[in-house]
Amino acid sequence: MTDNIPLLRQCAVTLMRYAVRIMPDARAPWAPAMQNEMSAIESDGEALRWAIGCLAVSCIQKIKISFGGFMNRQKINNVSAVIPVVMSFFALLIVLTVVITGWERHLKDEGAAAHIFQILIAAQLPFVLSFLVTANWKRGVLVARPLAFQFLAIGLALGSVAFFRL
Amino acid sequence: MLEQPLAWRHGYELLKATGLKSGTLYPLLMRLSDQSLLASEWREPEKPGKPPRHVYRLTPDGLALAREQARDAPMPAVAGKWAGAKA
Repeated sequence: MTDNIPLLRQCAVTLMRYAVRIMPDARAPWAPAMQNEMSAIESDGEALRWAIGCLAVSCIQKIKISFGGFMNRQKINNVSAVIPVVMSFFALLIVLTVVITGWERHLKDEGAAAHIFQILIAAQLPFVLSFLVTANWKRGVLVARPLAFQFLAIGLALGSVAFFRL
Repeated sequence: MLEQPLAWRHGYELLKATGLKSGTLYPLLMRLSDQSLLASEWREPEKPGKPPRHVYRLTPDGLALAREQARDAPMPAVAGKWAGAKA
């Protein structure tokens, strides 16, 4: 039966079926709307272009709805503001643990505590960059405050190492 | 849609009128619909054997916004065409 249908039209129909299949539930009514509209397009080439566009719509909607919950700019910014502070806090905690318990103080070379401390400090960089990139620079206070906390926290962590001469 | 606000239009008709690709047109329609600026409904096919089609028109809010946008935005392309027709 498909032998009578031109190749371009067959490709268009196949792509459109795929577009319908991947359209997220929240946008489900739009899929048949786009699919049925193709029946009004007489040119096979135009139908193919239509189907490609609709497939792109479905893919973008799928990505938006699947990742929209945790991929929006504000959420990334909020998380990126807090994580470096938490990491600095744990780094400081390691320093205090070493000082109080004498953990690995006998080692001449760097031990696990030193490595964990270094990782906690170095791993903050991508989060700080992410915070700076996603920040709303029109509202300077909302950027400056978390940034000041981040610097204060990392300053405390690094300062404690210098203070206790670890 | 602004010229004949009460007329329902098909997606393909809008595509031809605007020159947009389907990949651009439908996200716009979705966004307008999300903001209650666009109404849509299913229409039975004019020819037998064809599937029902979705039709669209602006809601009163959408129409008010479109009129506001049209008033604020210059329309050089249309003005150019009209000028050419007159000449």
